[in-house]
Amino acid sequence: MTELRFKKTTEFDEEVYAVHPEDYRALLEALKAEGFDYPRSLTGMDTGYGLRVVVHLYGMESGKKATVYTDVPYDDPVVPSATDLWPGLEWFEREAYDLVGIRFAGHPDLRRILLEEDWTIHPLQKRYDTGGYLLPDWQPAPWPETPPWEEPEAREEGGEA
Amino acid sequence: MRGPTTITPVPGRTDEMILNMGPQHPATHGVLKVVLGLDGERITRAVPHIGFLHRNHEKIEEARTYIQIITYTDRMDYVSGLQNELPFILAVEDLLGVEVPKRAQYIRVIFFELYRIASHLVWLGTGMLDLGAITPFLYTFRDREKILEIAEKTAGARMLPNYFTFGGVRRDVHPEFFKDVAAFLDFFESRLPDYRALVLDSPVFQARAVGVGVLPKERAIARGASGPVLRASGVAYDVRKAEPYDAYPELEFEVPTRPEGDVYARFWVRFREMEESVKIIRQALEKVPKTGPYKGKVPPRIKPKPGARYRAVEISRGHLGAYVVSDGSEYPLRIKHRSPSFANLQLIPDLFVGARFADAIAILSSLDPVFGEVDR
Repeated sequence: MTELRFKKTTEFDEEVYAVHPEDYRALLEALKAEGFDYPRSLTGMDTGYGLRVVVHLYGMESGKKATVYTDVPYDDPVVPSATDLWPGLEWFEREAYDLVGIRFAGHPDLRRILLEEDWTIHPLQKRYDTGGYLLPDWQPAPWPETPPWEEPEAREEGGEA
Repeated sequence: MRGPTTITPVPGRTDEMILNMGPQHPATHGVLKVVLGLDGERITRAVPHIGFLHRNHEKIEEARTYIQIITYTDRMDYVSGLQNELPFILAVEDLLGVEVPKRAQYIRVIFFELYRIASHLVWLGTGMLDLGAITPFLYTFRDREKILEIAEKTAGARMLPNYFTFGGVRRDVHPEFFKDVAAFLDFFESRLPDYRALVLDSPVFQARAVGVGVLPKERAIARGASGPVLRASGVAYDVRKAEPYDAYPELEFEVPTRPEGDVYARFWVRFREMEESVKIIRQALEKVPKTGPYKGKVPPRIKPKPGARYRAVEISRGHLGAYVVSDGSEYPLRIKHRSPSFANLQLIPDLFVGARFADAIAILSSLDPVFGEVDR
């Protein structure tokens, strides 16, 4: 997994991986091979500068927990689907598409799940208020100069030197 | 109106009937629509539709302060109302760094298990109603009423008590609480053999349940099934053991499992869970500190430090998780509720196809979905 672009941290009792969207799928495959066989949850969320997918995994044998997340921009919110690795994520990905607007490439049946099929918006995005109306003065934050999967040592080492 | 059903007739095939089951079908326990393709009595295709009870909790919660959100979490799985508060509270407690006093932990466990019994009693009654047996329903609702009365005395409400809070519970228990609970356990334990005889040992029930809706172990894990559905397929995964919370590490109990994975096994596992809950509550009644604070030190304004936390608990239906993302303000950035019935219902195509239509009803009641949490 050395060539994959990700940053691994430990938060509470979980391993948290922030991963580059292009390596998201490869990292999930590696984790699946490591024994994370149980899909606990998948969350889509709006970070203010883009959309984020968070996958919560659990190893039935090892009892280990892992969280993987990646960010994609608003104008191209596409991540590869992981339903073939964990079929249990099928509805979770549909929900993340429905409510947050993330598109999962390769998903077998990416339809809206909780909302009616004629909805045009994804209401959990921050640009909408609780009633589903566009917030007039909402502006996306700029894409971070150091995305979560890069953030780490480089900057700190530079500071120390 | 819901969009078009996704089953289209196969051209040239006249023997397949397309049937809309729900959303107002009494056996769907709420508002589930399943579009079925039927070849005689056999189900050839099944497409579930959910979302009829959708309120978008998660968006509403982003506009509420943390303390206000607890009220909303109750309303997910309204049958086991109180249990739903816990994963969210645990996640926020982790972010706040709050300690929960021992007495509060035990009170939480007692309530948690009482509501498991209450929920399983509703399932047993309505599940048997689906199968055509009316008697268990009358018994189980009478017993459940006793639990709700105990909850009402302490928390002031019956189904959605809004009683747990950050750092413990909202107020101390009623002076008669422990006595009431002990009395209920004695009564309930005397009733259990009767229910077993009425349901599990009944040859009529066994004829409907044994070998029906078999879910293999590997499929159950990969599909993200949890709770009794997973344990009836031979996987001893219980969040109370896997990631213990509150006072569970100090209590001894078994995780009942069954290898068959059929409807009978799922009924059997829930039955055994009620017995284990009685065992847990008895131990907790002994071990609970008789005095002491019922709530830890919590800042007056709840502002968790920036970060994210996923916590899970084992509610009556399985693995209920809450993912809380905080940006350090009084309002959460995102809250995601991972509800067990939502994941379990993905099994509908796996279990329905190939089964007989009458068995579909039995399979659905053995999954025990509650649509408040499926649709959120």
